[in-house]
Amino acid sequence: MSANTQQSSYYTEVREGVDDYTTTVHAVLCFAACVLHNGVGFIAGTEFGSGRRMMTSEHNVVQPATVVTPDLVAQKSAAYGIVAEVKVSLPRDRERWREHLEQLRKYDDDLAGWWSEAGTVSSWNAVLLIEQARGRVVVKALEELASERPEMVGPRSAVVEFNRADQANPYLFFRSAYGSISDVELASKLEEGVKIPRDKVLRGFPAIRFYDARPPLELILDTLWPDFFPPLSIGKERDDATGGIPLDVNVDDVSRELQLAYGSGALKRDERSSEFPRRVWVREAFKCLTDLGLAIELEAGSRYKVLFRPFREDVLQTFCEMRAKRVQKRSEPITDQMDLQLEDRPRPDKG
Amino acid sequence: MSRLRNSRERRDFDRYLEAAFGSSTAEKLTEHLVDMVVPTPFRLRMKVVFCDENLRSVLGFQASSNEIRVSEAELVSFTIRGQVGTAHRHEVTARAAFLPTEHANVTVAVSVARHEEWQLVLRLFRRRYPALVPIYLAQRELIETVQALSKETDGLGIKVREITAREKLGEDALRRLKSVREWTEESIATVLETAADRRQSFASITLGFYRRAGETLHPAPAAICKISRDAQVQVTGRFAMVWSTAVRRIASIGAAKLASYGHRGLRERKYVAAPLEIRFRSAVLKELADVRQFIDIIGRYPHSMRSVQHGNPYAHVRVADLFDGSSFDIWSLDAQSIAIVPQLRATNASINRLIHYIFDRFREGDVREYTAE
Repeated sequence: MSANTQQSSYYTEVREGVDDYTTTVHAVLCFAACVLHNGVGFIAGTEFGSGRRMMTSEHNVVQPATVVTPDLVAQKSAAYGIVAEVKVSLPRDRERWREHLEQLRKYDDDLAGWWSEAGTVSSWNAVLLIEQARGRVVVKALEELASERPEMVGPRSAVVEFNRADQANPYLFFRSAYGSISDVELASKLEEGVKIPRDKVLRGFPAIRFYDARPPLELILDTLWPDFFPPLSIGKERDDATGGIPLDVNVDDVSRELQLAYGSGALKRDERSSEFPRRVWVREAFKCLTDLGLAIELEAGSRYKVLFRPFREDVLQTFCEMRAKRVQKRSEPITDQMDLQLEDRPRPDKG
Repeated sequence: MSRLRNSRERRDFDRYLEAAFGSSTAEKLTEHLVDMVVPTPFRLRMKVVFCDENLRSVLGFQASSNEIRVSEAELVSFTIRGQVGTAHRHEVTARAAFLPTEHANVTVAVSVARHEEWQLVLRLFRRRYPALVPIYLAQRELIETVQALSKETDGLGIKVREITAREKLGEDALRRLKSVREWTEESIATVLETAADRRQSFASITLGFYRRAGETLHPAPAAICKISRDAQVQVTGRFAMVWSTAVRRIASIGAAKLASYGHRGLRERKYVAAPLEIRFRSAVLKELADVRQFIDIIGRYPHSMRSVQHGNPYAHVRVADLFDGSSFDIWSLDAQSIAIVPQLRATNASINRLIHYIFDRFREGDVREYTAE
């Protein structure tokens, strides 16, 4: 494969990864709307959060008394709530699916941390939200697991397939694929299938870009470069030696602002809420900028001098090309290295 | 309309302008302009701009190769000298002043100048962006301004003399436009009807005002007025009439627009998003080719950085305005609308520039809040 083809294929892969991540963010928000929205607005008294810190019970069959952070925790009433994990894609190796099914079992528990006085609800469902293309095989895997090790499939576990209809008016479609949803109204909706237009979600949450799972590194770079750095560069002189406009930035400040603008800060928060994008992900982005010669580390992992310059071409594409070139220069096989990097893609395995 | 006959008359007229633009107050300059009959090839030229900074500081900031002299009187006036022309570079001098309007941050740059002198002034304004923000009119706003002016003509007859516009290049060429410049002597209603039939988008409309004897109009216009979408107004006379209708109206439109585009950056709103929606009159983003065209247009947005997040079959593009560091997420999740989500920083100037660019290069629509329905 030629160097250009490698760069181009890496860009395609990254762009798909970014798109998958954005779709997952929308799937989380759309499913929250599916559970908590009555067609006019969010039902009064309902709550939801992403990455909310919940505690498993002493009797949890996977990990007792442990903190878990599901992609979505949505409480419809004082009595009923849903915890959900979203998977747009799954690894080829089916053995690794077990991890996800185990995670579902872990969430199918009398979790503590709901928005009630006691912190619990009397009725719940643990839902695996899976992209429709993988729905059937996942359900089959779950059924096999149920017959082999019945204790590993919880009584309130469910699989809901979702399908992204990418058309001029894109929407996400949700439908029950396995299990029984305890809430009658929601069960009936999901039995028939529900369409949630992405436009509606964007109207409600226009700035949310991250959820509580590691985004592709390029998505953070693509937030910092055209959004965070340009305002800092106004009125500053270009440094002839480096060719960039030097910007002194602190990782803590950047992380905090990204959280407020595009992550956890854009949702209702309390002491159990997680903070995302996490500082460690932002720090990795700065390390990457350093590696690409676009930043200089001033204090280990915390303060950087960014050498900002506007990109002529598409920002995401430029970063992909720069990263791919960097790998090629090191004479390392590009595909292996990229695979390793892409391994960290939205494959949240939390809790 | 008069014409200057020789160089002596030109020198005298120049001295007259120097004295008029040397007026100490806006009222005194206005008195001169009201009575002024502007000889060809001069025009009384105006441009409505938005500026929420000190005008003197803005004008004096980083003086380039052009020599700018800003007055110290109450009236903010300036003289600028610079090179113009490409094949035959030569030096020209222009005088201009800023007249206030009833809107605090909207002012009108006014000059009596030939085309090339006025270009020098416009070039200065472009260099002072985003401190000086140009105001743009939508097609509907331009037409309404012309119609308003036609109702206040002091008894003069009115005809359209010239239009410049863009229209489709043939029926099959859906996405290619041609520029047209046409001379006419038709009524405003007829010109608007033709424009609607041909789906023309006006760049400017030039009106002639004619003395009348009963129903018969004088063949030579008593004054000519050209109104452009970039909020420029040129007249050969009848300053007061044009000011009180067209210019004041444009100033109001500009003030309302810039105010509605203000305070939308996430930082200044404690991270609560304030997105806008451009709602089109028809489903202009229904086909994949439309979405691709839109992305292509945004990809050529001047002085910006872009990142296409998604392009098929809906659009999601991130845009940074390199003039002032503003940035936006642009989404088309509905065939009839575009959402513009201001990011950490978003000035009213940058929103104004982006929306005008979309109107000018893609389609015009109505701008409104993008909120949960």
